[in-house]
Amino acid sequence: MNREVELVHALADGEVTPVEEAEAKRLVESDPKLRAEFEWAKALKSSMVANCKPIANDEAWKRCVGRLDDLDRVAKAESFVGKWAWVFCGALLLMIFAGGIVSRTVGSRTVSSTQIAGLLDPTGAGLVDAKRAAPEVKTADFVSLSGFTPTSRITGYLDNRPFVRFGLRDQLGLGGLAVVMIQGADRIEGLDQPTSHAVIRAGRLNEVNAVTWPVQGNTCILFGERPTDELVALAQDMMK
Amino acid sequence: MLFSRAKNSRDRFQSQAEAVYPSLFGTALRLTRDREEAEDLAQEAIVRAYEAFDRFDGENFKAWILRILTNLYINKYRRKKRVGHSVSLDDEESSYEPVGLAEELPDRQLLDEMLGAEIEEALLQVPEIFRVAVLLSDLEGMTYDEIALATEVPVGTVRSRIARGRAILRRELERYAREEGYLKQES
Repeated sequence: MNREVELVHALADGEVTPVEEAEAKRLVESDPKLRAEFEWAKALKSSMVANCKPIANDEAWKRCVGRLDDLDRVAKAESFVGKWAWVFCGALLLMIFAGGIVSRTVGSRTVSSTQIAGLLDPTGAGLVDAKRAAPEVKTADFVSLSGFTPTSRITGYLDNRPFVRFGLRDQLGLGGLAVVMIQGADRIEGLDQPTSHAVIRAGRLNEVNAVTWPVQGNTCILFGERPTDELVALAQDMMK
Repeated sequence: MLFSRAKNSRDRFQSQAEAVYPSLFGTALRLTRDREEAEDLAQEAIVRAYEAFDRFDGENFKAWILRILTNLYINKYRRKKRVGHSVSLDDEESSYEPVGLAEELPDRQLLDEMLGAEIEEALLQVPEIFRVAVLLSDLEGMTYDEIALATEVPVGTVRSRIARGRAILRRELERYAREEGYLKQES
């Protein structure tokens, strides 16, 4: 029976195929109950339309318009950003590039502790570039080594800055000392603790005591297995 | 240029949406049975429709946006709500008899006696899956194909749900009419 009833309702809704229409009309004409069903469906439809009206809600509609305005604003902003994205990206890259240049030119006078770790090796392995001509560093312009006995001398470049490293024995003939002069650097990262001397700073390089002091825009480092106070005193002897 | 084109699109959408909003909100209210939820549902449908307006085929805006609303309700609100009448597959497939002889039950008179609020109230008592189909067909004038698209079921199921929904609605109206004295109590 379900099919017949559904067919009759579909007829009332005008939702039957031509083949179904003939069958549905025959059912409605021949069966009083299905005729009643057909009449009921039509009556209900018209009654619903007459009684169940659309419901106006101006406040809710205004809120909808507000949401649409928000969407438009976001879309405009996204469109603007999308249109100029390549400019923003270019500017950002330019800033990063410029920052790098500035960092290398302005901030390049600081030498990081990792860069000078290689200086602890008396052979200077890793610091000497065989393909590059050894720099000329005029030691005499920086320090006085009178009273010290050089035991080794290496030159090279530390982050493109010329340096010279001397292994030394002190006046008592005790070794284990080294002095390094680096051109174009005025600060050694990690060696910045004040000492009894105004310009000498102290610290440790790979567990070895070290002191540093500036000389005419360059930097000297003295390190060895000695107490810091003794290194400060030896540094003062070297200062010109 | 770009903003001008966008403004034209917005104006076209807004004028069409404003015209159908009362229907949209009415349907939302009859589906959710809650004014606040109905406002949210209608607004969400408006937003979704606006975002998809460039894909609207230009044929029947009301049917299109009602489809969005019905889909939203089925997939979001109904899942959240989980109240009201639940209907099993057995209920949906159960057989139902025709309403009876016309002279036994005065359909026209019954419906003529009813006020809009009473019909609305009876409609709310119809289980949801049937109510959706009856609403979209009888109130919003959607075709079976459009209802099938909106509710994501085959056309045959739509046909069945409409017939079944109307049968339940009739039962509710009769019950109400008897309680109010429009019809004589059954002995």
